Order: sequence, then structure tokens, then C-alpha cells
Amino acid sequence: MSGLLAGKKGIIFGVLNEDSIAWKVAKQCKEEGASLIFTNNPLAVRFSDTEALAKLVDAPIVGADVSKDEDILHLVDQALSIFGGKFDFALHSVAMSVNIRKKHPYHELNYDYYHKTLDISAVSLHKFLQACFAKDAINEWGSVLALTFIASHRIFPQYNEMGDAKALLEGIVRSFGLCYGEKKHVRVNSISQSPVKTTAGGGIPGFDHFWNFSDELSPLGNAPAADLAKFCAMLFSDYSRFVTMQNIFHDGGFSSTGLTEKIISKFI
Amino acid sequence: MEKKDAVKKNIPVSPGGAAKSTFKKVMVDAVKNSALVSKGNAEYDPILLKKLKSIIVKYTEHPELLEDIAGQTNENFIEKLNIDSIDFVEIIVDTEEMFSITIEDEEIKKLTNFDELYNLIQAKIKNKNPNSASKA
Repeated sequence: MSGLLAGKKGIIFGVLNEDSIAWKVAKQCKEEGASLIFTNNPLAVRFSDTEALAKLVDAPIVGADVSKDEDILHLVDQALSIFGGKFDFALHSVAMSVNIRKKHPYHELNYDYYHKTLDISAVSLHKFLQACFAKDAINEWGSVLALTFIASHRIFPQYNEMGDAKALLEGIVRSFGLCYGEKKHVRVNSISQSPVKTTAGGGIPGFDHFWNFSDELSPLGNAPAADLAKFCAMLFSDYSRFVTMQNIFHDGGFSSTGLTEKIISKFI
Repeated sequence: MEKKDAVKKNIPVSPGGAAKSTFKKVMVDAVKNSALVSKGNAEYDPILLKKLKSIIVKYTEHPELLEDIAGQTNENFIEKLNIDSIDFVEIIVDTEEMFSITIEDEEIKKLTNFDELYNLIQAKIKNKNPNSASKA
């Protein structure tokens, strides 16, 4: 077996269909020699392409509703059982905004929905890490990645409460990165990715216009999901052992660019 | 299958195993086209109707719109209820749990309005209990 991730075992959250970022990461990890488990909400698995895609990479599926503590504990237990021991990496690619789905603007949030959004989109990472920590489920020098977006720093109106959720997610990455780094040298990082046209992205009003804006403000253009997958594989590998507690921008330069000729030309 | 049971097992897979990437569009269209009443189905089992309403009411912020279902055929009714495709699948699963039935993915794809959902559930209940007529 060869590849960056030869012999490594990992859990991939959030494979829904071929457009899913998580699917592209899973494919890349498999190509690099990893063994995988997929996990998603049981309803999502039933009504999506998860099962068909899991077969393509020989990944068992363990259902988990991340809003339920017992499901996450069960997921970790099942992973340990399926892998026959500890695993090496995990991708957290989980998000849902109930207020966006119910068309509540940010100044009219339903707080029950808000709590659910934060729970699913951010606290779920803490729950997973806490379960892994308690069960000593991740090998030394393991790696956990969470996908985030720059809206945690800069506000895009249509991203609504998800900006808050991503800010919380990035905070959890840093805080738990400290705990897990000290205990087991496990890295925890977030990747702030360019907008990607997925089922989730399509739920953001005006997404296509924003994608175009982002592409024109990024010197390299929007980073494709396939390139993100390779970057994730590298961050799961032993080539990045001392990178932790970081929010890494994989965005074609968007986060550092104030203006480009393409953008300013629209005002001339 | 109860939701909690699905967690304990490798997830139940819909029959056929075919890619369901077109399924989302079917579900969204079904939700948009669905009306909670139909002029063609004048009689509803009040118990079954009440139970279905109790399921749907959890997913809408406008429960008052469920009060007078009979006779309403407003095409925008579902949009007014603000139920999306995620709510729709939750409604399907809750329906399965409440009535201890299984709705196959192929059957879900054929649902285009509330009457069809109602009739499907009624038929499945009857098949489970052939000696009791539409007993919800």
C-alpha cells in the first residue's frame, strides 16, 4: 500500500452526494491509501447518495445525529470496533442553519433554531473531540480538520447565523487543539475554504452571485473542492505534524485581497 | 424503523441503491405542489387526519394554517407553511414511526400532493389491519 495516508484510518462526516466537499476529500484519502468510515444523519443517508458513494471507497456507514450526544458516543465506539482500534484522522464537514431554512433574517432570529444551528454546526465538533478524548480514540499525531468559511471574520449578510456558528467552530478548534495537542499530539485545525457549489451552499440566498464575486476578488480564483481535498489529505498526513490550532485559508488569496482590477473595473 | 434504531445499525438503505441525486428535486416539487386538501377527496378519517396534522405542525411556524384543512386547495399553501425538503423527509419518517409503516423511496417519489400521502398511509394501515377499515 502506498500514498500519503497509507495505513491510516479516518472518519469522514457529511458525505451527501458527488458535489459534497466531504466526498471529494474521501475520494482523495482513499487514493492516498486510507481506510474510511462515513457518518451522517440517518435521514440524510437514507435520502441521499451516501450509501452508493460509500461503496465506491469501501467505507462502512455509521449513522449519527450530531445533535444527540449518545449518537456521537456510539459513532466513536463503532469506529473503534470497525477499525479494530484507534483511528488517525477525521473530517468535520457538518453544518445546518435552521433560521436560513425558515427565512429568518439575522435581526429576527428564532433562538430555538439558533441553538440548533450552533449545536449542529459547531458544538458537534466539540462533542466528537470530547468523545474521542475520553475514549483515547485517536492515535498519537492524529489530525482532525473542520471546514469553515471567512464569514466567521467578515460578515456576508446572506450567510446569516452561520457566520456565528463558524466563529464558534474556529474557537473550538483552537481550544481543543490545545487539550489534544498536549495529551496525544493530536492536531486540530480548521480550513477556511472558498465558496463551493454544493447542496449546502445552494441554500444561501444569492450564492451564485457571491461565488462570482469571490472568484474575481481571489488572485488565484476560487479554490476548487478537488484541490481542497488534496490539501486535506496533506493535513491528515505526517507532512503536517506540527500544524495545529490554526485556521488555514484555502481560498485563492481572497482573505488577503482588498481589491482587484476585475472588481474595480466594474465601477469605472 | 425507529430513528433511534437506525443509529444502532448500519443505516437502512433505500431499495434499488440507485443514485438519488434527482430525488431532491422530486421532493422539493412534491412539497411545492402539495396541498393539504383536495377537492377530489371529500372524506377524511378524522383520527388519521388529526394524527397527520400533529406531525406536520411540528415543522411549520404557521400551525393556524392547519386548522381548516378541508376545502383548501391554495397552491401556495405549502410555501405559506414554509416547509422545505428537509422538513418533508422528516415528516415522512415521523409518519412511518407513528403508523408503524414503511414508505418506500419509490412511493415517496410519486407523491405530488397531500391527498396522495393521505391515501398511501390509509392503504398501508389497511394492509396491516385488513379486518379494520382505515383504522388509524
